[in-house]
Amino acid sequence: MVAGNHQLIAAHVSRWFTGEDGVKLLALDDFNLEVNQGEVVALIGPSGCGKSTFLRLVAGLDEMQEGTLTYDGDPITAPSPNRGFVFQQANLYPWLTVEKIVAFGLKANNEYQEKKLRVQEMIDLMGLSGFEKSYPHQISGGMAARVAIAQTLVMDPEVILLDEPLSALDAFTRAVIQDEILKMVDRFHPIVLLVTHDIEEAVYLSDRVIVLSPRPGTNIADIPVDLPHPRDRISPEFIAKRHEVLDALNFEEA
Amino acid sequence: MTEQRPQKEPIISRASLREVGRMLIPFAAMLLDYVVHAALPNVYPETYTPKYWAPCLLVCMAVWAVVFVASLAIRPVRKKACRLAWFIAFIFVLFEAWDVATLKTGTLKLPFIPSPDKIIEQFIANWGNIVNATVASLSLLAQGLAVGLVIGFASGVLCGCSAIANYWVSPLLKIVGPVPGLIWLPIFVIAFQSSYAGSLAAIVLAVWFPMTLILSNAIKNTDIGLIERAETLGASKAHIVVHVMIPNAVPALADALFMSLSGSFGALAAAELCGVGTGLALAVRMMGTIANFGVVFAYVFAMILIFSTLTAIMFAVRNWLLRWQKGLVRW
Repeated sequence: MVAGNHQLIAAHVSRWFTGEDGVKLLALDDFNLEVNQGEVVALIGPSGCGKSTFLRLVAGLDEMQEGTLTYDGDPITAPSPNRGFVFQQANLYPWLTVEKIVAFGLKANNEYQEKKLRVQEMIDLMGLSGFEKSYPHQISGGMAARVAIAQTLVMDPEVILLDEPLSALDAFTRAVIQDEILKMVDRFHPIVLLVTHDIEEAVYLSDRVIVLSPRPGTNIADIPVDLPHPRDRISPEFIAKRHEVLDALNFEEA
Repeated sequence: MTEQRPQKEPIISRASLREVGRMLIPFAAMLLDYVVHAALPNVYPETYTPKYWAPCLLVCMAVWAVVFVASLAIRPVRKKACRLAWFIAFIFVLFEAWDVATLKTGTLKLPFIPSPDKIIEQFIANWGNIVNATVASLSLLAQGLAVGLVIGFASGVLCGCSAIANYWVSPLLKIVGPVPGLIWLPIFVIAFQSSYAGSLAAIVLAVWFPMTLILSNAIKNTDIGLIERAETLGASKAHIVVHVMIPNAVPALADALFMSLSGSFGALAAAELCGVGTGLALAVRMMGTIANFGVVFAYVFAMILIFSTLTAIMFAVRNWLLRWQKGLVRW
C-alpha cells in the first residue's frame, strides 16, 4: 500500500427510495467512510444493505438525499471516467470485439489517438492476449470479467469501484482474477472500493473491511486487514481475520 | 490459458462424395423435365409448337453446372447449394407437372393457365413493355424506400431517446400508421395535387411506420447496464446514442427493414393501380382484364424476380449488420 493524497470522503450519506405506494424505503442511513489513495476497501453486508447503492453514488450514477460525498474536496454529481465502475454483469457490447470494447472509453473521450498503446497494454495485463478480435459471445465468463476490468482500467481511473464483478465465476477463475486485481492495484495505486458477499475475497484483497448492517445500511465495523501480500488463504492469521469479519456480520444473533 | 480462439472454417475445401451426390439431385430433376418434355407429344392447343421450354431447361442446367463446379472447391457456395438442392429439384418437378398438365395433356385450360413454354414466349415477346414497367416500378419504389427509410430512421432514433419527440410523434404513429397506404392514397393525391407525389407519399408512409415503431421501441428498451457502462467511462449522451443505443438496436433495425420493405411492395402495387398509372402491378391488371394470361404470368414472374431479389439484398444487408451475432435465426 502506498499512501497518496487523493481522498474519497462520504459523510452522513442517506439514500432512500420512494415506492409507488409512497412508502419510503431507506437504503443507506448516515453512512460514513474515508478512503485514501492506494487503499483497497471492501464493503460487506447482507443483501439489500445498500452497499451497491453506495457504490452507485460514488460512481455518480445515482443521487442521495442527505449527506456529502466528495472526491479530493469536490462533490460528486455525475459519472466520470476518473471513477471506473466494474459491474456485476460484464455488460460487454456484443457488437464490438474485445479490442474495441477496451478502447470504448478512450474513443468516447477523444483520447484514442494519443493513448492507443494503452489498449494493448491493458489487454496483456488482464491476460486477454490473443482474444483481441473475439466477440463477447465467443469468450467465457471469466474472460468477460477480465474485459470489463480492462475496459475500466484503460481510462486510468483514480477510483475503481468493483460491484461483485467476480460473483458469477467459478472458484478457480475467481482466484486468478483476484491476483490480477492485486497486480493492478500494486501498479496504479488507485482507491478501490469492492462490494462483495464473499468474506474470503474481502479479506484476501482489501486493506480494510467495512461491515454494513442490514437495511438501512450503516457502518457497524471497520476491520483493518494488516496481513502482508501475497496472502495465504489457509494461514491461521487469514482464518482468524475471516472469523473477525464473520463475527461482525452475525449481528442477528448478537 | 486453456481457452482457444475459435477457428474459422476454411473457405476452400474439397466436397465429400455425399455432398456431390446431393448437388446432382437438381440435375436429375432438370434432366427428367427435359426428357418428359421431349418424349410426350404436344396436344394442347393442337397448333402450338413449343420453342422455349427445352432451351430454358438447358440454360438452367448450364447455370447449375457452374454452381456445381464452384461448389466442388468453395465451401460457402457448397453449403448453400447442398441446402437448396432438394428444393430446387422440387421446383423443377413442379414445373414439369405444369408442362404436362397444360401443353402435354390439356388438363388445365387456356386462356387461364398457359404452359411454361407459352409464358416464356410471352415474356420474350413483351420484353420491352416488361422492362419499361419494371423501370417505372423500381424508380417509384426506390424513391419511396429512400425517403421513408431516412425519415423512419431519424424519427425512430429521435422518438427512442427523446421523450418530447416521442410525445409528439407517437400519437401520429398510432393514428396514421396502421391505416394502409391504399386508404390514404386519394387523400394524399389531393393534398399533394399530384398523383405521382401522392403515390410516393403512400409508399413513404408504408416504409416509415414500421421503421419508426420498431426502431424507437428497440432504442427505448436499451439495457440500462449498457448505458451506465458507457456513462461511467465518460461517454456523452450523443456518444451513447450513436455508439450504444443504435448498434444495440441493429437486430430490431434489421426486422424493421424487412417490415418496411414488405410494406413498400404493397403500397407500390396500390399506388400503381390507383395512382400513378404505370408499373408492373397496373400491367398485370390490364392484361388480366383482357384475358391475356400468358402476359399476366410473365409480369407476375418479373415481379417475383424483383421482389425476391430486393428481399435477398435486404437479408444480405441484415446478415452483414448482424455478423457479430451467434446462433442468429437466419431466414
